[in-house]
Amino acid sequence: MTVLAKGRHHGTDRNSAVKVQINPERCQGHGRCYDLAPGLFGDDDEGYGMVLGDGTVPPSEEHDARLAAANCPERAIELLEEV
Amino acid sequence: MGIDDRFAEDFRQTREEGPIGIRSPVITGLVTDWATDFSHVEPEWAADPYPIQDDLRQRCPIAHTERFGGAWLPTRYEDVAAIAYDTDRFSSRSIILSNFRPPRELAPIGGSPPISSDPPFHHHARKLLLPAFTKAAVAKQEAGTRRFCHSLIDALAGAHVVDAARDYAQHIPVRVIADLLGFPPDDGPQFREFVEDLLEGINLPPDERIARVSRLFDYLLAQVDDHLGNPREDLTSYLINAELYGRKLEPSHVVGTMALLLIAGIDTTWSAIGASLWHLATTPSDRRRLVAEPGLLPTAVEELLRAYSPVTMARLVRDDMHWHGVDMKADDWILLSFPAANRDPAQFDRAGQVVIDREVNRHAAFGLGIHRCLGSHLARMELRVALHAWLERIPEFTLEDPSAVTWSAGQIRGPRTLPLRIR
Repeated sequence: MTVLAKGRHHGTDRNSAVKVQINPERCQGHGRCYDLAPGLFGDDDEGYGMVLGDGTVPPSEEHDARLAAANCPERAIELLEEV
Repeated sequence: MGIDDRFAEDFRQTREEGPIGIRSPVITGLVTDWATDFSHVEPEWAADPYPIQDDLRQRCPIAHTERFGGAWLPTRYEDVAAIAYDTDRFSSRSIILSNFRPPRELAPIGGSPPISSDPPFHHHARKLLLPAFTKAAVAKQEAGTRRFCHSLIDALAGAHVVDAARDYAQHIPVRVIADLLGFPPDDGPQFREFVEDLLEGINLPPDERIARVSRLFDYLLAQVDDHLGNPREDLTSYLINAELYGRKLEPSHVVGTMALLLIAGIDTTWSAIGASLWHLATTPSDRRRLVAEPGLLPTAVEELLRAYSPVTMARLVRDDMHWHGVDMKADDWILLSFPAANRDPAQFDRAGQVVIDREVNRHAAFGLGIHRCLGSHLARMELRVALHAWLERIPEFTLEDPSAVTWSAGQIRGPRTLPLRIR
């Protein structure tokens, strides 16, 4: 269950990085991720979601990342906390 | 390349020689027990299905009916999702529940690909259409849609009471779809008849239903002829020229997909716009908040889609099986109620309430799995633009006569008469 809580390491003293991933087996192109977090996700020519860059989430976009994950109807978005 | 003669003969003649489907007796009349005799085409359901669904969810949760030759109605999100994902055991070869089941041989293509298709054919038929319905493709229609919404509102000038369903909501998707398919915009009134014939006429005598559906296909074949002689940049010409497995599409595929785009694009979005305006007319606090904070509209649109999901789909059970506590028989219908799933308290906090700024909203209004609504980006754009234009121009409005509001019966639910006092 994804909870939209602020990350524990929110702020300047963070020592972990959050990354986003899309499970292409689950994605059906609803587009909630690129609607809600356009800085992190885009779409391909068929409307399926794509992670922009390597998926590293800047601290300022962590809320968007969690929002995208929590709103994906297919539960296709994973948030990875890397220490 | 020779002349395209695929459409020289009416493909319906060869289809008539193939296997026939199953007809069931038409059963209508008052429902006595929704758990054992439900009917989504009776007036009580059309007027307010939510208390019925909530009751069934608690005590069934999968209701049954002998009507339509036998059908099941799951009401929990979990069951609806499981069926949507299980394309092996639940076929899409007919997605409108009626008293006629098309022959099994119609799978995996179905009459209106890709919505009526099963894997593996489904994937290829859908892939042909996806690029035309991406967010970027849809964005090209936004300015025109906005201008059209404003022109509809201009035409309401001077009126005190208007029918927002008939004078506003219904025209918006009709115009958008006519543009996409390259049909004459003045044919709109005919489209609405086609929609009613297909989606609301399910209990008509079979021969009359066939005659009505036939009128739609006559219209579409005339449009194909017109496009063959005069190709242009629209989806009709695109489908005529599209290829699958290295060959041009079967004529039944071209016309079936045109039927899908025409029907599925119209009263679904019309219903969503109408239901949203009904909600705002009856909930002044939400209306005032959206007028004051138009930036909240995209979030509100998702909540309105959840709470008033217009679309219910159907499936056919492939083989006899015991499934989640009930004994399903081959060819039983499933009424796949995304509206019921979207009000399941096990999935949503305050499920029965409209929370206009709900931030976490994993609703299934556009379905789940491989049949995710192809036009979801288009529908969202139309809904957002239509509500934005209305609230900007008509910030104050109320329901004039609650008893005069009528809702469509069947698998697509939305207001068909919506008298609003606008000044």
